Amino acid sequence: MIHIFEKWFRRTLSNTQTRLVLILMLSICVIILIVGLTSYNTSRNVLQKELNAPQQQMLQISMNHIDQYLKESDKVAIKLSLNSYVSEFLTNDNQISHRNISQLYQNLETLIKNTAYIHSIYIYSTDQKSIVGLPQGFSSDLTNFNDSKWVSVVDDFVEDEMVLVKQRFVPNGLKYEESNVTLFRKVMIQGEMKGVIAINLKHEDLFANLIPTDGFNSDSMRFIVDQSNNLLYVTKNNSFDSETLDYVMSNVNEGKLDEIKYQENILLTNQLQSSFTGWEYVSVVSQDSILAKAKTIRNVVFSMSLLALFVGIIVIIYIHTVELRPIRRIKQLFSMDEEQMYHRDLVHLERLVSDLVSDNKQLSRVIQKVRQEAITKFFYDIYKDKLKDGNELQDKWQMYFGKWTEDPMIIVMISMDNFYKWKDRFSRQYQSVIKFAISNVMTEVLSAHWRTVCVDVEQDTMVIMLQHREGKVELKNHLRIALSNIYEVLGFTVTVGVSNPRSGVEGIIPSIKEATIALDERLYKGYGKVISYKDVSRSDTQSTSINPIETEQLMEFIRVGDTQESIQRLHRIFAMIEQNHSDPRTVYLFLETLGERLMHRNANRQQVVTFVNQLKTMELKEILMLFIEKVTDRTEQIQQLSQSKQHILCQKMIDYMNAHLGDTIGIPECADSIGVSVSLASQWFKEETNETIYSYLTKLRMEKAAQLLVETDEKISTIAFKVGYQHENSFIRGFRKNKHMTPGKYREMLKKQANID
Amino acid sequence: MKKSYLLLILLIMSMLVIAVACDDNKTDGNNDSNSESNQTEGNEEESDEPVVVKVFKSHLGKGTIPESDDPHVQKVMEATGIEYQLITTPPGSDPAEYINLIMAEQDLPDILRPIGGVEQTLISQGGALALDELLPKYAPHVWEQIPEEAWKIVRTASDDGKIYYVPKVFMIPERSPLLRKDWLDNIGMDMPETTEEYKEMLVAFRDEDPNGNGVQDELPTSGREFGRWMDHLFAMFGVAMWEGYPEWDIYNGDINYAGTTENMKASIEFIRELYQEGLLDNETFLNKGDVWAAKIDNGLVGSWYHLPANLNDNLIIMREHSPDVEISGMSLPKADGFDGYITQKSMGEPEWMIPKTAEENAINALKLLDFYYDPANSEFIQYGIEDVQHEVVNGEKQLIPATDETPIALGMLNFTTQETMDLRIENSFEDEDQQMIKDIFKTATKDSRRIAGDGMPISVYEGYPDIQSHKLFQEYMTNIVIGEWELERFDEFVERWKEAGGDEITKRAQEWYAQTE
Repeated sequence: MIHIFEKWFRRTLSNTQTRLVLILMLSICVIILIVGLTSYNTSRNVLQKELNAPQQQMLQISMNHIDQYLKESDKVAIKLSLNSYVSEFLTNDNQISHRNISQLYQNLETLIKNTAYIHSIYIYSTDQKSIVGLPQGFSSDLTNFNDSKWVSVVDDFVEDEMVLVKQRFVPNGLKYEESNVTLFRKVMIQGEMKGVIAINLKHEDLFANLIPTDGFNSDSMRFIVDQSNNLLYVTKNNSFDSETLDYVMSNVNEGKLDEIKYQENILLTNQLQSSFTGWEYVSVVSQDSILAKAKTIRNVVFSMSLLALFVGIIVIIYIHTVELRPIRRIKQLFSMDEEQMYHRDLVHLERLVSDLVSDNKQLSRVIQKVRQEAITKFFYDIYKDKLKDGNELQDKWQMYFGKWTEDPMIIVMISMDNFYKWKDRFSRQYQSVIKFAISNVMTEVLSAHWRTVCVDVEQDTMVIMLQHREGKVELKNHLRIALSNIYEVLGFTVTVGVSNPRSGVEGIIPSIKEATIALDERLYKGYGKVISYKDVSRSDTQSTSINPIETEQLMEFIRVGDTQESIQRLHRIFAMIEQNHSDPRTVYLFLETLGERLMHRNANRQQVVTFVNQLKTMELKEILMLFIEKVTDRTEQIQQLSQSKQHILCQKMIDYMNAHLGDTIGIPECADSIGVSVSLASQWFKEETNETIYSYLTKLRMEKAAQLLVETDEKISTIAFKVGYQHENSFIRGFRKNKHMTPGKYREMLKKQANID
Repeated sequence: MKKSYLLLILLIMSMLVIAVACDDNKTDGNNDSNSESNQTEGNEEESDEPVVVKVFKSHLGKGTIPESDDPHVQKVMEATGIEYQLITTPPGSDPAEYINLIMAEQDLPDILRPIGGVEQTLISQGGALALDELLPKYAPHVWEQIPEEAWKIVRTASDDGKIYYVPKVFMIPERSPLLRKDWLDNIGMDMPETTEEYKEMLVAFRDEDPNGNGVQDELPTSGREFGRWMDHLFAMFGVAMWEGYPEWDIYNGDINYAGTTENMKASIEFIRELYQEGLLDNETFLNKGDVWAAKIDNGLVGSWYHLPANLNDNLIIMREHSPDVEISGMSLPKADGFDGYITQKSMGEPEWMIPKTAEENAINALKLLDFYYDPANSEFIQYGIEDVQHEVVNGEKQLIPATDETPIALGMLNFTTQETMDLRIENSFEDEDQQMIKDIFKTATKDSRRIAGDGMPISVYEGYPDIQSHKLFQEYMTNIVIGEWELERFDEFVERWKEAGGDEITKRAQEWYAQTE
């Protein structure tokens, strides 16, 4: 439980705001408390001091007053003791002197009347045990004197003491008694004590000064105690009972302000002692009554600080539960280590967030890249028609082109003219840069009015997808501008194919196809052109192919090494192609085959493929030039070759074969014809023609047969015989192997063709 | 917000109204208390408020001053519609001084019982209200019960012959020579018949330890300073004496001052003898009231002169020392050549008077007084309220003895006859004492007679305060008695008295006396 609380407390404290509020509240609380307690104590001390002075003064005044009364009374007593009537009364054995006592009566009456605070005066004769006093009068017998019990006071005088002041009960009339203070004075005559003069003082007059003036708070009282601790006088008060009085009496100290604690009450007391009577004068004030106001201050301060604390706690709780909820949630999200959290949570949080932001930057850069690549990939996939799954297509489309609208899109294919030449011109590492430059130029020009995405799909080809955004603009013009920019900046030309506009992702593939077709049109239109699909679309897919004989004848010329005639033939073929203006794809196919054949017999496969592939990005004119170059190479090569012995012998063998096609000749006969061994003849022949003697002979027989089939109407068996086959079946088998069709079919096909022409 | 402002204003206004109303009440109250007595028309205005009549009376017995909710006050109010408010002298103060004080302060009650000659001051200064017309109308019982003779005397108290006060009427003597009958029995003597026998008795009292305590402490007879309260010694010689003050009676055929008569001289001579022989307490002329009373109470005095109706308190104390105490009235012993009598003043002494300042409330004051004089109320006036002033024992009403704490029931009837006195005795004395007191009265009544100067207004002394105070007489009498001066100096006194104005006063007294006849 404690542990949990401690944990909670530590966690709460680790929260910066909470700490702040807590520190603030605690300090405010402490400040209020300090200020309040200081002012309370100061005001209490000041009040106490301020109050003490008048209290003490009042007490002093009262005491002086009472002492004055008593001293005056004592003077009266002294005067009386020196009075001749008194001394006569005290010394004369026969006291009943009417004259003397009458005079005494008069004297006493005068004294009593003239001294307001004297109630009565008695003169007691110790010798005669008689008493004279007013108002009672003279009595020779104490029993007849109403109030004579006091005479025992004679024994109370201590040796030299002349005066005693005592409290006692004095009869008031015959029936009543009242508390009274009496001053007793010894009367000494010739060193002997002869009597006592008693002066009864009027109680109320004597103590009148002690009674507080009207309206003074009733929580105070003053009282007087004589030497034997008898209470002489207490002012009327509401708040102190006799027990309090006793307690104060036993605890009070002379001369200074005292705080006496009695029954939850602090009493401020003052005490003075009269030097004359030895009475103690005590004033008591309840501190509560003085400090009631100061207590209010104290209470207000306490409640204020409590309130501050309370508000603080409320604020802490509020901040903790409501205001800081997001931060707490963030912490949860980060799943921060609790132990770590205790140290300066916000610093930690700041570090985390800055990390997060830099991570995010990096990540977004990566995402940008990846996105680009993904788009390229996506497009490439579309381009390659790999995405068969409609859903996947849609999903990816949404992911990458979510911002694009449903408006129709146009595909533009960009292709480097004469790619192989271009490839040779730029080193491999620059190629991608240049392609990037191309895409930049295109984007720059087009992005003003179109949404664009540019993707590098193949070595020579880039695809741009456009969606018209705003403004009425001609795409072709912009593309032309772009192409001219490319030419100016990069120094080469590119050709673009433009598809028809089409909506939706489904339209992309057909658009690509259209653009490709448009691009292929470069063959005829030449480099650096903008070709729209709608300009090149053909109604008939039927294409006119070149007569194979043209090709064969060309080849024949090449074989014999006739350069002049070969080039002429080439020109003828290309002119035919140009004229036919058939589907470029067919044309490329034809040209590829032709190119393949033009290659040297010794050329390896790689060389052939490279040569053939480059044709695709070339215009017709340039292909012609390339072919002419090639043919020239070949014919010149052949011309060189035919001059060699070996070549001549092999030519002789071929001549022999041609002369003896109808005979049943074989390899030995051919070798014999030139007079060398079969093996040598075979070696030579292979070297010269790259064919075996037998296959070359068969090829010749088949060529002859084909010629005969086309040019004559002879029976197959006759033709077979004419070309050296004994049996018709083996001829058919050989023909089919060579020409991929039966002789009959061949005749039929060619005849049909001839009819058409 | 607006609403709360309105409420606040309303609240403040209503508080103001209440405060003003309170103030009004306060001022009304002040008016009442300021001029309570001069507002007769106030009766009609505040009919539900009780009419308050302030009554001043001194010399009350034990008890507290009743509040307005006191049952006796309430009962009187039920009967009369008047609430009496009793005022008396504060404890310890002298009644005569106090009444002079309230007169000086013009703070007079509605009706007061004058003491110390205050009535003459009021009458001469015109401060007393003439009651001639009011009495028959508003206090018929007072008017009818008091004998015409008394009213006649009252009228003589003023120059204009009007009734300014209701007189006390005492048809029997109040004072009597008293004797310790038990002492007489102890020494085996009879009642003295003559002054000689009286003196013998006193000698026996002095010498034969009649109180039986073995000490010769007895004071055969005693008095007070200035020769007061020893009237019995003068009375034997036919001196008209009233508590030590010589009175006026017929001497030498006309009304004369008793102090200068031969009778007086003879009595002084007799007293001087007693004093010299110690038969009269030698402290007599020093005795003040307390000591004198203490001497009697302590059983030291055998013969004295006092009020038999007040003996009860004395008896209680006396019985502490001598349980067998028995007091009896003493018939005046016969002095040779003199006709002794006890001075009786039955009427003419002022009892109630209404100050002129209380004229407006005079009717109510008289109504209240009349309630007390109405014989129909005598039972209530006598016994008061059951369980407060009296209790019923065996079917008889008995007064409950007063204590310091019991409230005093105001009595205003001072009309004493034999019957009322008997009633008073029966009510204030123990059963066994009643007869004793009644006997004392019987004896006293036998010896007493109304003096000629009964009811003589003190106005005759006007201009001669020394003679009015009897100082001269007291000085001579005292000094002669105690032996300082010779008896012959009495003649000197007579001369001096006459010179000091005695002749003039005698002339006035004789004129007054002629008027009353």
